[in-house]
Amino acid sequence: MKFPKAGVKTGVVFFPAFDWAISANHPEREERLLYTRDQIFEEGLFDVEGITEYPPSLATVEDVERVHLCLPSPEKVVTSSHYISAGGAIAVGEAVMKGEVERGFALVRPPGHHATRVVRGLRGFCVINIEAVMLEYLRKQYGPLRVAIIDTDCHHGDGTQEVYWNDPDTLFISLHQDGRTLYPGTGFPSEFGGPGGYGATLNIPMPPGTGDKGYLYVIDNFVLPVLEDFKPDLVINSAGQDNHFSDPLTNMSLTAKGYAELTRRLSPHLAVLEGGYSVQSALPYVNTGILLALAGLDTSNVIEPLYSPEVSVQSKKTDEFLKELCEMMLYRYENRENLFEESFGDKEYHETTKNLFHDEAGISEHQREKTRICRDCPGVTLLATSAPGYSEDYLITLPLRGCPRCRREAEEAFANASTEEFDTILFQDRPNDVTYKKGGPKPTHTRSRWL
Amino acid sequence: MGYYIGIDVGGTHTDGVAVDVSTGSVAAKVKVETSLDLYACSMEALEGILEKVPTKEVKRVLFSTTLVTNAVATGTLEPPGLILMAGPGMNPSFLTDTPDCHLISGAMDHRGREIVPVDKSEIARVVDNFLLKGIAVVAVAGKFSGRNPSHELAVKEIAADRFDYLSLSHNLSGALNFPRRAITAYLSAALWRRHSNFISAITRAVRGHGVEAPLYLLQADGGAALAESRENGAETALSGPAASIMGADAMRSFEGELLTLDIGGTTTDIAMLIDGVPLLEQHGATISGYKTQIRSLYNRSIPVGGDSEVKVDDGVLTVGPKRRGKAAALGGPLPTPTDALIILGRYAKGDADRARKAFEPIAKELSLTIEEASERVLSKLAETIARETENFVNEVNSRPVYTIRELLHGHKVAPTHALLVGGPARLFVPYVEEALGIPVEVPRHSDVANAIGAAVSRVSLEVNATADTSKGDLSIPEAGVYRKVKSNYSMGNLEKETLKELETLARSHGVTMRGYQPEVLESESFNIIEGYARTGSFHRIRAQVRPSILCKIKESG
Ligand SMILES: [Zn+2]
Ligand SMILES: [Zn+2]
Repeated sequence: MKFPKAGVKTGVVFFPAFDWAISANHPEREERLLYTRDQIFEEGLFDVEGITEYPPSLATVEDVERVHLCLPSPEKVVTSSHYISAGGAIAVGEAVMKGEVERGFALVRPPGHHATRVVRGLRGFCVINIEAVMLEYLRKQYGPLRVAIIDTDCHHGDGTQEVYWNDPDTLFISLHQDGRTLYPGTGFPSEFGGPGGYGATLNIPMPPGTGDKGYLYVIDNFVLPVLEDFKPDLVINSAGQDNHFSDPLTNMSLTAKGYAELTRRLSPHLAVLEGGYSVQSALPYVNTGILLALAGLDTSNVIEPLYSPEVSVQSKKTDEFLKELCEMMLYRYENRENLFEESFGDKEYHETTKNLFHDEAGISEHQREKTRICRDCPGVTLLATSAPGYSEDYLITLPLRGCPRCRREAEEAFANASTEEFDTILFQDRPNDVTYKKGGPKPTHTRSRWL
Repeated sequence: MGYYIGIDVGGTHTDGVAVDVSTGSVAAKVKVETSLDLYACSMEALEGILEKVPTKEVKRVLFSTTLVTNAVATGTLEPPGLILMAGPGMNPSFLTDTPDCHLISGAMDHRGREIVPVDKSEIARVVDNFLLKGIAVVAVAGKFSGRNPSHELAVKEIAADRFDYLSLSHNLSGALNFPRRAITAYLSAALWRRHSNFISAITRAVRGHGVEAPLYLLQADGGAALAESRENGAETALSGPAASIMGADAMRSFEGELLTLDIGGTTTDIAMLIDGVPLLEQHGATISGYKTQIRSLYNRSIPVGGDSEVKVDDGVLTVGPKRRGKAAALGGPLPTPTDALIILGRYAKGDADRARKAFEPIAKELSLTIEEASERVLSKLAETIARETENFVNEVNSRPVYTIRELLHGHKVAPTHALLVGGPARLFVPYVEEALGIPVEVPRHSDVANAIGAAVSRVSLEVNATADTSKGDLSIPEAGVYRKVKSNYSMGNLEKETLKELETLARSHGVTMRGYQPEVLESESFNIIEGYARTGSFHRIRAQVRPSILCKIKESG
């Protein structure tokens, strides 16, 4: 009659933010983790020897600005709940880096994987990217880290992809429901990373109805081989649970046991909760399954009441589709250097434009981006963003490994950027871990109704 | 007018006191050696007290005993039959590793909705099997049984009257934690016979002495319970530290955060009073490695005390964690902190020359005089206590919270004073004060703090109430309340009903209504949304009658 001992020491931050919601009937509301709380408390999971509950820390404005340009200002868009949610991820991240535990689970909300570098309000229920804020904090604290982020949320992790688009040291793999059938409508194989991080962004869009078999197939036949090759120091799982067969917002067919098995095979150092809105039928069981799997405990008894063998059956077509997709993506990954030459050749700069929509903030944004294609570092990035009716702003990012030449360019760009032209100008000098800011919010600008 | 009698059976001594209710003074004190027969030494202490106060004037008698703690520690338990309904989740094999455990069908979900029904013929088979094996006590636990006890009740229907005792887990605690609840039910069944025999014996003996006053037992949380109302003997475990902190509370009025340190021979117990209220464990007591759901004091027991072994290894001085016997001055084999006190002339006891002789090698290895070495040993003891105290406070401050409000505005404890209790506590004051860096006091009667705590401790209770208006269910497991509610049943309704039930329960446990103070510890209310529509509310309340004291002890008494 003694609690079991975890095979793998695991730290958990459980922060359900019971007093925070986007709005009363919004999927991201107070009781989202209520039933999960009930289940993990009734299971007595925090009494298992080797599972340690940690309190979240509070992320700071500096932690956020390492990753984001917050408009009109961090004070106006980032709320306590976001600092705690990111701080929760940081707390488990630190526990792992310090060696207090081998693995960590940030069972926190609100989520973050749709948050891009420029933050103008809510985007896909997210404001700041909690994995990125955590990871950049860990890099500051513990030095350079080679990291893989495996995003298994049902939605494409477009925010995380955008943050690490040009970073060769951060492998980003997203497994999600095909963007032609689900928000945010991105995440295709052709999205393969910027010039500095080409081939370090990998997308696996999966057909609606994909079940345990398909997910595990992709893990075994694509994710694990790529990880084997990439050799990350740290593996982070963006553990969204909206791929559960009972999720109201999506169309996938993963079960709690399937998720637990996925976790076991992936063996991430850190799992961070993202989406998942089947709050009664899925989350209590999926979260229990993830935690048990992380801790190296038996998950065979994690069976949700709605389970039957049929719920996770996927079509033959899906089997074949995934087989071909994995083969094609492995080929692309293995040949990324040749593909780089085809795409970028000997150009000096890579320039792109794109339109972004911050759905719940109701803000449309136009971005122009210019990245230096550098032989010595991932290259400086200059990003001009304009949201008509709101502001025009400028973000200069010198990456952690930024070379002297790119530094000169970044510093010149910051010196030359004029507050006549831009409202806020932010220079992220990552090697020195400082941000410089010019301008700032002007009182004449309309404030977002979400603030 | 009248007297409260407290009897505390400790590891080495059994203490008794009578507190004069009208003056708050200690009218009688008795100290006897604890023998193997806990009943006998309890009676010896009681008789000692009754010689000094008139039996007619006794208002209550409370026993704090190590009976249960010892039984669990030595494994002298009556093997119960165990019936579990685990449902989906963690593999329950860690609970089923007892000889007569049956995992039967039947499962509930987090809202108390049936996932798998029970199989009555299966229950009947298990019951027959137990009877065949001569099992007389049985424990039953189901996951989420507090939300819906119907499966445990189905077992009761078949098993009741066929065993001497049947412990249903949902009656023990309404808090979530199935394994702890199962373990608690198991212990309550395993201890039932010993516990009820003890109650019968002391009741007979007390009545035999002509005392008609109600008889109470001290619980792990520092609260009292009427002896005849308490079936769950496991609740009386760990009452020693609980008695000590209630004694500290009785002897010292303090607004704010007060540390209490009970320095004994082998161990020092660290606990805390906040505005006179003992800080409780979040999940429940751990009794000899069994994690239970029994409300208990938040206590850290560290292996250093007056009789700890003093050693020097490679020039490094250590005090504890082992105790090898009494102080050398009192005939023990090795030097101890008590010897240091004797050498320094702070404690006039035993043979000071033997203490000096025992300290010679210590002093030599540290290249100090014997007096200097003694000072060093006492500082070392105090530093160990201070370090563990700091860990204790940090642990309290890193308790998890689940709302933004609590995280941002939650209070961090920082005790400003410490109270030392225990036998020779007074002698350690300067050292502990220096190491802790806060004022340290020793109350008068600190030598019988535990018995005083026992004498004046009030009845305490906790209830956990849940209303799910979408399902239309209300449950208050500790009060045995399960009923239907209407969809408009509000948080206000729940609070009123919970407090009413708490009072009823408190009365049955022998509460004194003067100064009765129930309180709501936690309350939460959520919308239940199914599909995209709100179908009801989920209200939850945790309420208690907190452990507290009936009267303060006057210093002048
Ligand atoms: Zn999602
Ligand atoms: Zn460069």
